[in-house]
Amino acid sequence: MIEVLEPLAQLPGVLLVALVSHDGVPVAVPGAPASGNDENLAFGDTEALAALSAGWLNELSESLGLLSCDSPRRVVLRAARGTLLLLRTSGAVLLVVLEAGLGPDELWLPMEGSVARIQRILRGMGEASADAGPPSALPREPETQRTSLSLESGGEEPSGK
Amino acid sequence: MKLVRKILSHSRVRQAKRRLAADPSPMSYAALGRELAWEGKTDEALRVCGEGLQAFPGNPELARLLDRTRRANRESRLGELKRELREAPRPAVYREMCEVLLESDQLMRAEECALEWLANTDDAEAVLMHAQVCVQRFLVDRGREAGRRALEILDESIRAMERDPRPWTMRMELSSRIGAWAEARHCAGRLLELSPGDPSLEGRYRTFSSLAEGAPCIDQALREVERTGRLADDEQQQQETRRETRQHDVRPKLKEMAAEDGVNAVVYLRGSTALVQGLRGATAERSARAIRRIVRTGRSTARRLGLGQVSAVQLEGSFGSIAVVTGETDAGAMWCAGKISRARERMLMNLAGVEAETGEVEA
Repeated sequence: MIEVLEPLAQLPGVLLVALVSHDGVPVAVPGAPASGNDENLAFGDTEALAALSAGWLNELSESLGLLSCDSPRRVVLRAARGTLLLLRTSGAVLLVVLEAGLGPDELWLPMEGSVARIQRILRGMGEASADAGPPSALPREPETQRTSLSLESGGEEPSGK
Repeated sequence: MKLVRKILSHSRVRQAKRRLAADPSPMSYAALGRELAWEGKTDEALRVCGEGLQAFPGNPELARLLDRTRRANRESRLGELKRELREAPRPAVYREMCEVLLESDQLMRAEECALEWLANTDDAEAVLMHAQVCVQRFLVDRGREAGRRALEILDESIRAMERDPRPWTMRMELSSRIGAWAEARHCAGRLLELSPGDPSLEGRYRTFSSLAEGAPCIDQALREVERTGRLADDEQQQQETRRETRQHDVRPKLKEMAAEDGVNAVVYLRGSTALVQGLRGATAERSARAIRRIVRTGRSTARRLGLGQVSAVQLEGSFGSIAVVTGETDAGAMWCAGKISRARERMLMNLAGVEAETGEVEA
């Protein structure tokens, strides 16, 4: 995951990039701020940052529930010493902290790109594990489905069937 | 080449002076200030800007130029101080460096400088400066952890300079600002032991004594400040500001914003009052509660994350966009379909911070 987050962390003004899974585990990459301003934030405890952000996102969802609205997909929190961006995806939240005064407009596109790459990686991992076969304690369903699919798509019946 | 540039610049300054004499307008003041700053005469530029602001109070261009020139001055002084520190580090230079950094709101750098000073000299003054930076940081962030840290460093400073009233004074000010009156009274008592009979201290001791009964302890007071984002003396300051400023009626602005295409609702919050435009009845009430909750949780999250005071929160999703802009004591919010445009963001910024008159609730 880190190699997906690193290009985002290299963008000017980005102080921190983290991917927080639904169970609150963060994968964090510190950024390299380009402004030369030493007044940077020190995010020593990334786990606390991830937990606080995830908690806030839940609170926002509850607040929006009062308006009968779904959970927000993008969240921006502009503050005196930095800007927090949260992008919600299936099962994870991509979190970026920007230097104070920088707008999020230019960041959304690379963030969406990173999310798409992460999802591709996760899909690939899922398929690979499906090909390798599930642990023996679980039933082996996919093989039967694949056989029935090949039968439906026409062609001859597989041997041994 | 430098000589040619200097001659040209000098002639431009002369021209700007002539223009100012002929037409003493804010533009002419600003033009002369810019030329002087360009020539490197920042002190003179500051004087011209000050004079211009006296003649045209509140002129935004002159105020901006004054601010920029001051910043440039500080930056150049910081450069000189850095050189001094490299060549001959000594307490006076460290102190000035920390003070300039504090003035420029560069708290992290100020703290680093104070720590470097402490590491190099083990000076009690360095501990006091570190405490001052930490107190300043707490007053900006208003987070519980920052407050605790400031108090810890202040305790260190008190231990390092037992007979010095400054750390006790700092602790008293901090305690009174967060509303920990019993602690403030204790500090005033210690200060009276150091300078007995001081009439202003005696007055403060009496005030703190009258407030101390039932007042929260330091930890409770810090928790309350983190929760609400308000210091004990904020209300008093706001009342003074309110007396000074004209009260605005925010409703025409709300109506104008709600009438825009694609806008579902516009909400203005101040204190426990909410003005909602665009929605009616129970839905309006729920939307006000939702916005208030977004503002409250956003403020406390930013403080806990060490991001300082929140200026805006923006949410996007299948519901469209909700933008909230927060002022010192109030907040404005807009819920609309699609994205929030820059123009609408600006309208919200004008809405929040107007300290509007919210005599009645409109739902």
